[in-house]
Amino acid sequence: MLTLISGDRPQSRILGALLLLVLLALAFAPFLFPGSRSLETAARICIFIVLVASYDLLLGYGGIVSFAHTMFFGMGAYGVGIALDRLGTGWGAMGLGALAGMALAGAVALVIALLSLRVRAIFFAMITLAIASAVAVLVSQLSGLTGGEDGMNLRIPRELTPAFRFEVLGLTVTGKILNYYLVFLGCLALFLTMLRLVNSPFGRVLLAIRENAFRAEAIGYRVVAYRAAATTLSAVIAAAAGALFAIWLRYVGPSTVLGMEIMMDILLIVVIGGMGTMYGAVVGTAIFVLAQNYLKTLMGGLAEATSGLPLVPDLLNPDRWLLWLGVLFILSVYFFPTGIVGRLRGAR
Amino acid sequence: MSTAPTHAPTMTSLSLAERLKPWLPVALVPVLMLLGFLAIPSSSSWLTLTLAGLAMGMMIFVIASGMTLVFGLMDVINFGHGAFISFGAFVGTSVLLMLGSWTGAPSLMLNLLAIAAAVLAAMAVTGVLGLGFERVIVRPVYGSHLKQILVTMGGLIVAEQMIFVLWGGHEIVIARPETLKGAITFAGAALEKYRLLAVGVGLVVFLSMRAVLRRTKLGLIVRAGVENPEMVQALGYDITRVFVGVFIAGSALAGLGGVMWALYQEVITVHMGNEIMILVFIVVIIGGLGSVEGCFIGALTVGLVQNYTAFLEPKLALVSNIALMVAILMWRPMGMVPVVKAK
Amino acid sequence: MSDPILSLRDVKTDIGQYHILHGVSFDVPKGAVTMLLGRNGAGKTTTLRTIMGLWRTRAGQITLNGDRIDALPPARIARQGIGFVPEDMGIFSDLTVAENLRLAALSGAPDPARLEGIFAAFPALRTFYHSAAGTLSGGQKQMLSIARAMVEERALYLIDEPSKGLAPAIVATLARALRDLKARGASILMVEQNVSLARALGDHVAVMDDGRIVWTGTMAALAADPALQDRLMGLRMDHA
Repeated sequence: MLTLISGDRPQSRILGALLLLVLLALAFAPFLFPGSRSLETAARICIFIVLVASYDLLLGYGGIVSFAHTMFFGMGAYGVGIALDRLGTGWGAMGLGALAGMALAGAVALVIALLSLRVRAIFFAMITLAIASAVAVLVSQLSGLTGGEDGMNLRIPRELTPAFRFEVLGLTVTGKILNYYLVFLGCLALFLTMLRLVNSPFGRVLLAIRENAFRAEAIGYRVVAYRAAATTLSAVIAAAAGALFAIWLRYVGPSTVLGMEIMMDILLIVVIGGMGTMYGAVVGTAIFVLAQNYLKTLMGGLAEATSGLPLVPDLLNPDRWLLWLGVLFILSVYFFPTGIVGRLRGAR
Repeated sequence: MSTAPTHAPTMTSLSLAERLKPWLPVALVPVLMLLGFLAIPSSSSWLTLTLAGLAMGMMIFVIASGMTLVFGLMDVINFGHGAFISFGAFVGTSVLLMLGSWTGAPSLMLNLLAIAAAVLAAMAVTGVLGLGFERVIVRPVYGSHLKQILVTMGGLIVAEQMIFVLWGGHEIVIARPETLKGAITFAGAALEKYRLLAVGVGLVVFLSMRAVLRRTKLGLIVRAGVENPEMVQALGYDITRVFVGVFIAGSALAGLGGVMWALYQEVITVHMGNEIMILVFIVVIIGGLGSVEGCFIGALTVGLVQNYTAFLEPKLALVSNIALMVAILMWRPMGMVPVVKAK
Repeated sequence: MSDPILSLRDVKTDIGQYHILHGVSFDVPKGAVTMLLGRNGAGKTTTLRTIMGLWRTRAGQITLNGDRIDALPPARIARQGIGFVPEDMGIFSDLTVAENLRLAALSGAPDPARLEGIFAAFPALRTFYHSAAGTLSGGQKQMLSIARAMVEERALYLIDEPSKGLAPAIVATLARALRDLKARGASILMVEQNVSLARALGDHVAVMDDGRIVWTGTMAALAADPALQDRLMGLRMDHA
């Protein structure tokens, strides 16, 4: 067990319990929470854990802010989508598409990293923002290849669709459930890989660079090389998560993988969960996805209760939940820079 | 460098090429215009596009100049700058809609008065907003770029959501004042009146900013502060106060840019600030973070490239600016007009 | 001796997590040149920057003419009458020589008479008055840095290693200018590694080691005692 999590103990009983709870809930989701709605939520949580964790690799461990993470996520998703569209349905096409997407993401990330990190780390934030926005526009325009704004529906192998059914030990298992386990196990493997990475000497050098890039350089580490490597790895993993997402949804489109809102969600989750902890991604994502529903309901109720007052109901409109999340975000950067995980570990 | 200068000032020992080198970026704009002239078949469309490009560039400059100075002076990077653009546009548009009788009248005087009122209101609101932003959002995170990016991004979200709360989420259509509609014909080319006005306003902003920076004591403090804020303090000037002033001015200019952009597009949306910021970031990066001159050249370059490519190959318009940025960064990694920084 | 112009009492300064000054105490007498000596890393530059307010003290007191200045921001300290010539000269290379000097004049523009005095001491600054300071040679930059401190009448000048990396001919020009400044009754606290310059200009000496003052006295006393020089700094003045 310890080798599996690379010796990275939760270091807090509550955190350990939370992680175990999330793991068990996700592992048995199809049986614990029947119904396609909750399975959707579970799959989304799996994929976002990986997406957020791969961002944490960059932000929390590398100290680099990127706004192109959804672009890499999208590359994986569109890789699968375009491969299935062009090469026809099949496991080979699906795998090839995923690999191509990951390779493209890695290559683009490397180029951006070398171009910007060589000069100043903040260039990276601005350049990724510009490039990601341009790519999002491009994807909408190249409708012949990408399906444009409408995106594309994917025909994945039948074994992964609800139409496929078989019985195991008296239980009926559908292809949808197989698909879920593909997502779950894929995400678990990716997450454990990242845990391994950050607890390796590589991860420690990254942390040293984040603390003091100048000193790390003086000791003899090639800061740019390490940061570029972190950027590339993070992009490749995000693309892998994107590929799984496309397979799960059987759809790719700009709004599901490229939107700026998704980028904001990732940022919020990393900061609220806890930067530079990996486990923050797990706890943060689970809480965020649940809170998103809960908070909206609460706000709806409050807005109705205050409907007589000026302005207040507008502030409490469920559509304005991002407003409060933004406030929460700013407050957490100031007051809880280590996020939920940091708090739990501190209180141990 | 021909000889190693000892006592002699280096200036006298520079070759012509060396002396021209810092001016190369300035040549970029006319060279680009020339390339456009060669690539675009009809000279009247070229003239129209050039004016459009310059107008767009001027507006981006107005928006980006404050941001680049704020960075140069205090090493503060404000990702929430786009919020000031949107706020400016919404405030300005509201004022213009209120002054409908002035904007609808066929009198240049009344039209300009309405615009002036809108601009003043927008700049006042965004200036105050900038003050609040600096105090609440930026002040606690001096010295940490990572936190600055995160916190100002958070500030951007909150500000955008406030626009939703105050104005609702829908786009607002705003017509140009009566006398600024349409175009004049010059050498067979249609030149939109409003674009001419935008170029004029941009030039005035640039020239007055240059005059302040070159001729006044305050400008000296700002320019010196960009290079070495510590020494400015050691000479007896409170750089923090100067910085707050620049931050407010930069925010107000973004508000002005927002109004200009609103009348340029004749429609405003909550996310317009964010969309413009993509171009602003490109401009600030290629100009050289902290340099007003670089920002000006960069803005005009981006405006022209955007408009020329939009005509020649519409799908490549935004991508062309990314390519421009990559090319310039490979040429000059610190931007066209690199800013000298002590330390 | 009259009241000191500047005195430090048990001043402690940290830079980041490192303790650099461990309780520095000494006085700078009025109207004289005090040399702050010591080996590299002893804390001399940190001491000057602490006086200037560019590093904050963790503990201790700094008084200028009897008034506490250790809690003031650098700009206020400068306006109390301290002229600062930092180790890296702190020239604004984008600004012209004229603009550099104008910036140093707190009341708008430099006083013409003082400016003439500066030109007399450093003729090169007149020649390149309208050139960008970045195009000056190293020695000219140092002249400009000192000139900038002289634009206003100062109660005290803090000068950090003016001779560093300069050719002997330029050091001679600087020495002449500093001697003139001293002759006009200025109070100066100066860090200097160039022994002959230090000896020629200094009246008083404070020797630092490892973030503390280890000896104070007159230059004459130090110069007359080779054993003391050896013990304090591992060098002998008459050899230089």
